[in-house]
Parts: sequence; C-alpha cells; structure tokens
Amino acid sequence: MITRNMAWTAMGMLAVTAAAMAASATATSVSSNGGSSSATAAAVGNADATATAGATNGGRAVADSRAIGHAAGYAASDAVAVADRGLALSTSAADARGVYGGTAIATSESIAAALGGVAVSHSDARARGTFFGVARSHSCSTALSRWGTAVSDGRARSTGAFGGRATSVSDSLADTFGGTATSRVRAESDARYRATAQANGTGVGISGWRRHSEVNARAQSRSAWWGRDRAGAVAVEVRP
Amino acid sequence: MTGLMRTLTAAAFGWTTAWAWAGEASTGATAGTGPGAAGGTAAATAHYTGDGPGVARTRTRTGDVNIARGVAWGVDQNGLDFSFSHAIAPRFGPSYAGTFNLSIGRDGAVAGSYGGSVADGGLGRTVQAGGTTRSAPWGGTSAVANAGGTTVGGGRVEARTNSWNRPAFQMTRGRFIR
Repeated sequence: MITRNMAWTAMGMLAVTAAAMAASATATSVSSNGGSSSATAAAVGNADATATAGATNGGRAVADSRAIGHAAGYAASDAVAVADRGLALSTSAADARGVYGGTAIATSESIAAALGGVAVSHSDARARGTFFGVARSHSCSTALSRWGTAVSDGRARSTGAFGGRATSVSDSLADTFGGTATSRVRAESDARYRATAQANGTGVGISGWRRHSEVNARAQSRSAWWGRDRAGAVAVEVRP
Repeated sequence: MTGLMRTLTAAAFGWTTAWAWAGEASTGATAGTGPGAAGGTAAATAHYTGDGPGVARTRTRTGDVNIARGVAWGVDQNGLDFSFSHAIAPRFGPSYAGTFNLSIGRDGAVAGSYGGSVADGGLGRTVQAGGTTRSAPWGGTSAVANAGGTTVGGGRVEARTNSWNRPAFQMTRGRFIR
C-alpha cells in the first residue's frame, strides 16, 4: 500500500524571491494541492519588507512587497495574501526619502485573504521630506472575502519641503461576508516652506445579502509657503 | 516502575514541548458607540506564537467612526497561521465586527473560521469579533471564531460564526484520499 502525503510542496509551484540592501526583506511562500504561490519582497536602504503568501486547493496567492527608503527616511512594507478557494493577490509598496535632516516615514500594509475566491488588495504609501520637511505617510488596505470578490485599494502620499510637514493616512477595507465589495481610498498631502498639510482617508466596505457595495473616499490637501491645510474623508458602507 | 515513570514523564514533556511549538495566531476587536459605550470605544488585540517570524499588530481609532483592527500572522515549521479581526462602529447607523482566520498546515491540512456580528438600532451599540487559528506539529490544524454584540435602549444584534477543518490529502494506490 502506498501512502503519500500530497501537500505543501507537492502540486504547488513555489517561487520565493528576496532581495535586500542594507535593510531587511523576508518572503515566504506556501502552496498546497491547488498550486501556485509566489511571494516577493525587496527592501533598499533602511527599509523593511515582508511578503507572505498562502493558497491551498483553489490555488494561487501572490503577495508582493517593496520598500525603498533612502537616507534617513524609513520605509516599511508588508503584504500578506492567504487564499483557500482560489486567488488572493496583495501588493504593498512604501517609498520614503528624507534628505538634509528631513524625516520621511512611510508604512504600507496590504492584506488580501480570500476563501470563496478572489480578494485583491493594493496599498501604496510614499513620503518625501526634504530639508526641514517631515513627511509621514501610512496606508493600509485590507480586502478579505468569504464568498467571493473583495477588492480594496489604498494609497497615501505626502511631500514636505523646507520646514514643511505633511502627513497622510489612508485606510481601506472591503470585508464581504456574502460577496462583492470594492473600497478605494486616496489621501494625498503636499506642503512647502513652513507649511503643514494633513490628509486622512478611511474607506471600509463590507457587503452581503444583496451584495455589491462600493466605497470611494478621497482626501487631498495642498499648502505652499506659510500655508496650513487639512483634509479628511470617511466613507463607511455596511450592508448585511 | 521507575522506567515506566520515566517514560511517562518523557512523553508528557515531549507533548508539552510539542504544544509550545505549535504556531498560533489570534486576534480580537471591539468597537462601540452611544451612551452604553461612553461616546466611543475601540480596542483590539493581536497575538502570534510560533518558531518562525510573525507579525502581530493592532490599530484603533475613535471619533465619528470608531475603528479597531488586529492582525497577526506568521510562518513556522508547522505551517502558516493568519488571523484578522476588525470592528467598526460609526456614530450613526449599524456597527459591524468581523473576523477571518486561516491556517495552512505543513502537510496541507487547512483550518479556517470566520464570523461577523451586526448591531443595529438602539441608543448604543457595541460589537466584537475575534478568532484563533493554530497549526500543530503533528499535522493538525484548528480554528475558532467568536462574534457578538450588545445594544442599549432597543436594537438588534445578529451574529454568525463558521469554522471548518480539512485534513490533508493522501494518496493510496494512485488515488487521493482524505
């Protein structure tokens, strides 16, 4: 009698790539009977990057993660994609540059976990602060799904130059208990010379019963010279 | 007798050690609004235990919309464990809390759980959801989910949880069996 365990590496196509330069990058890839799982993580400068993928019978869970943070700027990026019944892509990128004493922190996180299939998530956070500028950016984006489809975006950019300060936070979540929910968020802020600019985001979707739900929140604020700016946008839509 | 005792002790020690090696991720989140929740509350927990690298993170925010989220994941020699819980309670409208937990064992066994609760109506609403998922060294995976909520001054709470476990595929004489 031949008894063999068919899992983990058996029918899966595993591809793991990790590249790091004066930083740290971790990439894990898991795959089972359904096959195909890929995790890529790259970190340049003082940056962290983690990418974990999963996938079992339904197959395919790709998680990508990049984090570049030159000079004193810090950038961290995570991306997790877990699936059981097929596909859960997740991309995350954080880019932070800060030169001449400026600080720039950018964190990005992106989780996409399917179950009934398909959960795409994306997240992007970029912060550049030059001279005395401080620029922080934070982006989240989660898209879980139980019975199918939940796309979530995210994105937060902030630029600050000459003593300027720019903060942008952006969250986005599309839950989906019964299927289909899209949620997108943008939060961008710009600041020049003693300027302060803030922008928040928050999205959230969650759908069920009659399905389909779409949330779109956007916040943008710009400021120049002595200006001061603020923006906030929240859009919640729960329909169970 | 002494030999038997020694064997038993060794077995027990091995068992406890094995348990300690199991990868486990658990999260919980609660959010409330209204008079029962003193204006607005948000709390989250996240926890990961395992031999490999793992992340446990919480984020909370209170204001017009109270949001709490906890995420924990990690990979070790037993498999991948992922747990996510979040709760959202806006000042007006229904509050929602959801959880999603999934473990992929080293041998291909899958255990997952999900759930959610919705609190609607009333003067105050509090919702909570949480879950735990684990992959053990001997190939077993398990997952738990819980969800609930309370309302003050009328209202309605609806909560549902679901958990399952799928053992690894095995092949016997050219055939797949579970």
